[in-house]
Amino acid sequence: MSAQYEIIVEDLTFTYAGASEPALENVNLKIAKGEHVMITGPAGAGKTTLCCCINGLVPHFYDGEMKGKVVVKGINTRIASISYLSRFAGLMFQDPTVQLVSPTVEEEIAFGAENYGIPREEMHARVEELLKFLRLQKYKGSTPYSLSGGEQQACALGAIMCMRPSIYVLDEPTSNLDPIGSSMTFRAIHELVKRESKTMIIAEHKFAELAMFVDRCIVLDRGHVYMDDEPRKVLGSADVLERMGLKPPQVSRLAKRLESKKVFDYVPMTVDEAYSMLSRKLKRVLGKPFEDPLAGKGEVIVDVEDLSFNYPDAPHLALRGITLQIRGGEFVGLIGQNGSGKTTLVKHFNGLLKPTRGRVSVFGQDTQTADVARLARRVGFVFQNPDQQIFSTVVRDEVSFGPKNLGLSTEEISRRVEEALKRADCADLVEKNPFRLSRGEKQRVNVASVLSMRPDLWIIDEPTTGQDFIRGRHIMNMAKSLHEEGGTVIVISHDMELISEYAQRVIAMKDGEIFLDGTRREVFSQSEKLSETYIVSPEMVILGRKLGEFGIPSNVLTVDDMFSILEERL
Amino acid sequence: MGMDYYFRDSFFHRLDPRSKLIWAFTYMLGPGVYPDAIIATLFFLTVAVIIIVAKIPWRKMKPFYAGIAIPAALYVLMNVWYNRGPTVYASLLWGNYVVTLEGLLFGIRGMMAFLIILSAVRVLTLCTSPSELVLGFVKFRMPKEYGVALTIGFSYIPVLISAIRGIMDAQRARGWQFAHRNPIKRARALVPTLVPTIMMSVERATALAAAIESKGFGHDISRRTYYLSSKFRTSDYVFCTIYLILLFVTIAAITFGWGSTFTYDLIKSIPT
Repeated sequence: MSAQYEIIVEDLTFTYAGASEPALENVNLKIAKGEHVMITGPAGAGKTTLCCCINGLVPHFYDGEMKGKVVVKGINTRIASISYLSRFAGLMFQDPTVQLVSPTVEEEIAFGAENYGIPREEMHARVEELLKFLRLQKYKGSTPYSLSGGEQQACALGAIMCMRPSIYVLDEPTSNLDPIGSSMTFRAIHELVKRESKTMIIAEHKFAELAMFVDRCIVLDRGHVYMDDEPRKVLGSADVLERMGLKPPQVSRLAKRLESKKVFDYVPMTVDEAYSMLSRKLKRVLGKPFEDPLAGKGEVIVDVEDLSFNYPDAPHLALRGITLQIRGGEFVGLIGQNGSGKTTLVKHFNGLLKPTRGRVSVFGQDTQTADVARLARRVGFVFQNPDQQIFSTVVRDEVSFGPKNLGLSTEEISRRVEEALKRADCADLVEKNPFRLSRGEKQRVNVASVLSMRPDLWIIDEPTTGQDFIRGRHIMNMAKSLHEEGGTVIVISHDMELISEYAQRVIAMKDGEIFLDGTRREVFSQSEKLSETYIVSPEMVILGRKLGEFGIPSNVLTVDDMFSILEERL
Repeated sequence: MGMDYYFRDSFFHRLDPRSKLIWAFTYMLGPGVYPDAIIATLFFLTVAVIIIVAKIPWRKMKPFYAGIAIPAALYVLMNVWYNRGPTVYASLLWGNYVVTLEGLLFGIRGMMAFLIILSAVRVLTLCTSPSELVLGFVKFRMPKEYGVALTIGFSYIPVLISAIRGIMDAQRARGWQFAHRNPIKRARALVPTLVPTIMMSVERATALAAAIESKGFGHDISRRTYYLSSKFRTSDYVFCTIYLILLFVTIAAITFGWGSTFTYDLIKSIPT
């Protein structure tokens, strides 16, 4: 009976050692051979733990109490070792940097195969094939760490593929990739794995890119299986998913909100599906374009003049002749491909990098001569990696690190610390060890640590990678309230939906140059031009342009915009 | 950095990693313990032959020798101070700092041993990739588990460097001063960098362990295969034979005392 299922999970409950709540509770699942399954859910729902159950990391590697059982290819995981199970079930972890163990890309891909004693000639053949499949040929002999985040993930995926498992378990395999890169990867994996009729399980929150490639979607919430159905059925509850902190495709959300109008015969998962149904029902009405105000008429606080920058030993310029002004009170979204120079540019705004050519002045100070510590009084920088911004073992010390460097009095420091903790919603964490917190909590502590310095200019570098949507939103809401109080905010993000909702001005970069610069509606309405730089505009922008013939204004940006127009016309 | 592999298509690079290990070993062992200063110096200079054959540019060696020049010089001075022989060679102006010929020769010889050992390691790591080196060790019967651990250790170096850079950037952005004139202050400024670096390394070690087990590490280690090949070719046999003969000659020379007082006799024969 059980032979037809590759994976059987029965009454599984697992509690990590030291945790008060179980990470998974009463989970029952049966996954058949050749099935492609998406596992999703908000942070802390148990996605990663479930992945780790399949190759035996739970319970053999991670300590804890396990009830129930997991059977993989007829083998009870309790009695088999991790390395034995991994031969059938290849697990790719979310963070590529912790699974790269070899000095070169080709050896990295071969690492698993070496452990299983695959003969050398066979290994070389597999590695060659995978390098081609993953487009990593030119990096064959480079160290994996020199690759971009997305390429590192490709390399980590290759290492799993080289072992030729019959079950692929991928934990957010594209967290470092932009939407186009993600959907390309999902498509490639899907085609390959279908052809070889392998079973695939992907823990992922990117509905828009993945949903069309899977047969089944399992939604976990606080350790429980909350939904388990075809993706289209699951997306029928887009509103529920959104409240859980997930990000279903905009078109699915729009369909849910227009449910009472009965325009959609089925739940759309793509813009094309939504368009084909809407275009049959819509009547032509002339619409007025949305207003598109650009706040921030204050004085110029960041003045960049013909800035070029070259990293030492790098063959190409990272920034090329950038001229830019940012005024007090602006909320700027900085977008662009990986490697387009976004982070390099903002690191000039607090003096961490000095121009190779040209001039950058911030609050009237030339950064060439001003030191970082001085600029830090007015420029607050929240970096991308939360782990690299924690220097103390108690949250209180962490948040007072900055104010202490400013040389403030003890009373002033404690006043500021308290205020910052309250504001960043981490007052309850004050005595905790920040290194032990969850990623979302760490990020809040990072923000509090900058808040306590009371900067006038905020630079927030990618608050959304490897996170669920709701956390990105929390940070953006905080940025919004800082902005409303008169602060100037610059946010770098790959999440076009967040940028389109929060930023007033959007700057798109490409190959170290500014490619587009304008109000958010101006920039995103140029979706064709943006797609040249592999930026996908929010789905509503694309849908709005397709529906332009019906008089839908060309600068529709959000689900709210589209809903407000369609509600009147349907 | 210690591991600074510099790829060149050269005779020396193409040798089997075992040959390169044998070279480093014979080069360190024989000449490294040779008791005569001038002969030890000549031995030291033979590394130039390998550097030229391996096509290593001088710019790769210059900072290395510049870095060890001061400790090497200090080593000679210390030996002059502590090893005093009967032949007073010169008397310096201050106090009883007396230079004896025996002390000076002993110091120079010791310095040569120091230079030979470091040059061998430097040339070896420049011309052998970390994985080849590990493969060489494994072929010389180092346990395979240690081999994997060593490879992971080597590949951790660049990660560590970039993490430290990231942490220091974040600290500077929060007003921390690294640039102090006072060297003690400058060293103390690095203390807050240590905490996150250690925490990160510990966390990473756990994650790495999970990752390598998930890729079958420990499955049946005795049957582990290697992606890189290592083949002992004719050139390897010739190369190793030459160096092993050299080693035996040196050992014989040391044992029978050939030339062990060459420099001493030479200087003594100069009439003062």
